[in-house]
Amino acid sequence: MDKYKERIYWHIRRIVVSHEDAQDILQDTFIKVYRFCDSFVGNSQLYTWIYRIATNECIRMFHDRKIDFTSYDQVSEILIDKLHEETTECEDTILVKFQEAVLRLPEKQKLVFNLRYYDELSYEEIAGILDSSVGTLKTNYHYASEKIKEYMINN
Amino acid sequence: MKKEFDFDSVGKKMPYNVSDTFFSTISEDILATARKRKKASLYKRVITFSIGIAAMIAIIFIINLPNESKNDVSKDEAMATQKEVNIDDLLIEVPDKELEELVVNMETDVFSMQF
Repeated sequence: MDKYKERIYWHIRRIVVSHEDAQDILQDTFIKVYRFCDSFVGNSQLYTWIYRIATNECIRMFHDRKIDFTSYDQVSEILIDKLHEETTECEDTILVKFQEAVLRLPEKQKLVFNLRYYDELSYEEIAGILDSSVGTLKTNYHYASEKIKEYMINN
Repeated sequence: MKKEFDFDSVGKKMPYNVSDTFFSTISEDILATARKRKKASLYKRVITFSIGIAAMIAIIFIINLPNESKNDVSKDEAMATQKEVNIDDLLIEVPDKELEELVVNMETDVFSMQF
């Protein structure tokens, strides 16, 4: 846990924005890791398995709060409001704007962008986490980067 | 000329922050929560098991109650029919002479006399 807690926390935080939610999900993630570690088959790296559990926990939280995960416009607006609440003390406006651009991305693109850009995972590892093909992930990352660039230039 | 955005101007920095002690205490918090949940889950299982057993006993009791009384009634009916059949059979088998004696006995029997 000590080895992965920090990177998993930041992965969760980038998805849910709120520190309290990220803390709760981090707890649930590691409790699930302990409970189901026997079922870890070892086809993937341990940390990609933990990433997968964490990502699913984030999706479950949105689902529990009756936030439709497919309507990303609605999710984006909620998360952007949260972002502004959580970053009132941040003086570096470009960082807030960059996060805003990321949060405006469709869900899949957002996940791929975060895992590739911040966590520097390979496309093969991301494919294991998101159950997707490498080709689709590359396309998602390309579109995500383009949208972020566009947002950063025009806003 | 089209403006370009340089990702390096942002890098991997984020506008979020956490308290300095957060990562040093989170492991303990997670383990404490896991222990608490394990206890709660054990307690929940015991309660569920007890309720299940109680419900089973109640169901068995309820199912058996009417069946038992029904069985008793049918047993009584069977016994009554059996008695009747046996008496008739016996009477047929009794010779006429003995029957006459029986009638005489019954008529003179002090206990069966009506006043």
